[in-house]
Amino acid sequence: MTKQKTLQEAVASIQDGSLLALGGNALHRSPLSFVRELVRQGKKELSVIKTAGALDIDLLALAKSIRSVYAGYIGFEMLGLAQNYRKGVQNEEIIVHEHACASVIAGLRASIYGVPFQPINGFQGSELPELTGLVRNVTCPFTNKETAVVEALRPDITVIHVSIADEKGNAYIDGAAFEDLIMVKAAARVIITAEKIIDSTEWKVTPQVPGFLVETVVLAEKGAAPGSCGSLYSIDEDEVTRYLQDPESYLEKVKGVASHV
Amino acid sequence: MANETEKMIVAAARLLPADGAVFVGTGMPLLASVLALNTHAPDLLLVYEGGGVGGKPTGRLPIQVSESLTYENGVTVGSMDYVMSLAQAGWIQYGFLGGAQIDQYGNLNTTVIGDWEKPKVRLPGSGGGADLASLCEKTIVIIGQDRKKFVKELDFLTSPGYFTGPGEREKAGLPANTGPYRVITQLGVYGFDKETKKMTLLHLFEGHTLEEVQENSSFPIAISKDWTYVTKPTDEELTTLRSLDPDGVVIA
Repeated sequence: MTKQKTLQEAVASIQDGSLLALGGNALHRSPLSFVRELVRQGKKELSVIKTAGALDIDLLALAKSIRSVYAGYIGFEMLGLAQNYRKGVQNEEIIVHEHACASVIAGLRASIYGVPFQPINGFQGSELPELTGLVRNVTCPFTNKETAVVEALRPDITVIHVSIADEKGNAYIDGAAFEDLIMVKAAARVIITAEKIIDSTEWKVTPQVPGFLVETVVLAEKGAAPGSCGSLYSIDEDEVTRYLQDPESYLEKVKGVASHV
Repeated sequence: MANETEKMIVAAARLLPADGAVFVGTGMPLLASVLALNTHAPDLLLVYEGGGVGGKPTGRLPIQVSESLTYENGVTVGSMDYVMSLAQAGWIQYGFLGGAQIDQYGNLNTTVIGDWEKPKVRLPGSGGGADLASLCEKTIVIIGQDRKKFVKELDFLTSPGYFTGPGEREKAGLPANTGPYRVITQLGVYGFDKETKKMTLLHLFEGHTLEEVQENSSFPIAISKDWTYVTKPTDEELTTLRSLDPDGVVIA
């Protein structure tokens, strides 16, 4: 039986208030078609796990779809700050679960190993732990050494965008995998959007995501645009710049266009 | 004639060793590392935060660190987990950092201006900063210098420098012999005094003065008695740098 659905059907299955993990990193291979459909369907009170977010988080912030963020970094790197996220936090509409990229990953890793927390190195002294309580110290039972630990992060739904998937949910990521493979294993449900969907007898490369972990597959060509997608396409800097200069128009355009997939 | 940004990038590139591993972030650090690779350090291992290891990009600059160009001609491409755990296990010698605020001990803030609970300006956050500042043997900070950025007290300590002085990193449980190595601004290159761990001017860019160094800082900056001017970029350095960023994305 095929796991393929339309983008609208897949997004319709997301409850308001869900905890989502979004794959990709900054403007690279983020599931942006999915995010735009979340906005179109007017989802509310979402919480999002992301190592480094950019247009995905900022657009959800602009659309008032987001309640809280677990992330290490939200911004457009050299292109500037994520202004709508920034305003949302400053207006206390968005709760920040203050992380570093590495501690987000550690929390997800705890989930994939089925343990309640994950020890982590490199958080001795930053104010992140003491202010936020997200990184805490325990005494190692073997060495008696103080060790920082991060609580398990278990997304309700992980959404990643890939180059190729098949109808059974097997999926192939071209280039850097970022945290996608960990996010897939950590979540209760997994939705994959793909540039291309092939028949499961047609694989010429080896998929990294096994289909049994995946609930739904969606065809979404240019699904990471205006960000990049591996070797398929680069960042559309003009489009990102247009967003940064006039996010409201971008949002109106997103809402006005019925998705075609 | 090199502009300010070019001078800073060349100064940063020169700090990188002929071999060893450097953790590379976006913008000027990326350009400095690729410049080093193409000049004095062909065996330098560039570890990109997006997952690329050993990438030697040719042609134009990879604008953002997780772009596919960052693993061009590389050794492997993994995940952010892969490269960050390299740092956690102590494999990375050099790392670049930036920030909105820095204090005299090289502690950095990339989290908020104002109070964390009710921020005046919400900044992007730690990214890889907190752990890289904690774990790399030598970190290089590239930052614009003025009184708002060079502060007496950080609004938030995201990425640790030497905390409040000598021995404090070790006390916090950080690995010995790690910490901020150099700070590069438009005015000069700073190190940290062995005894006090306070920021100290080592080199000044020509055209600037010791007075400017102090005027553009809210904390007192010691001047090394052996301070010198930064050696001007060579023709080779400038030509190579400009060929890496022909559109002037970073250097213009």
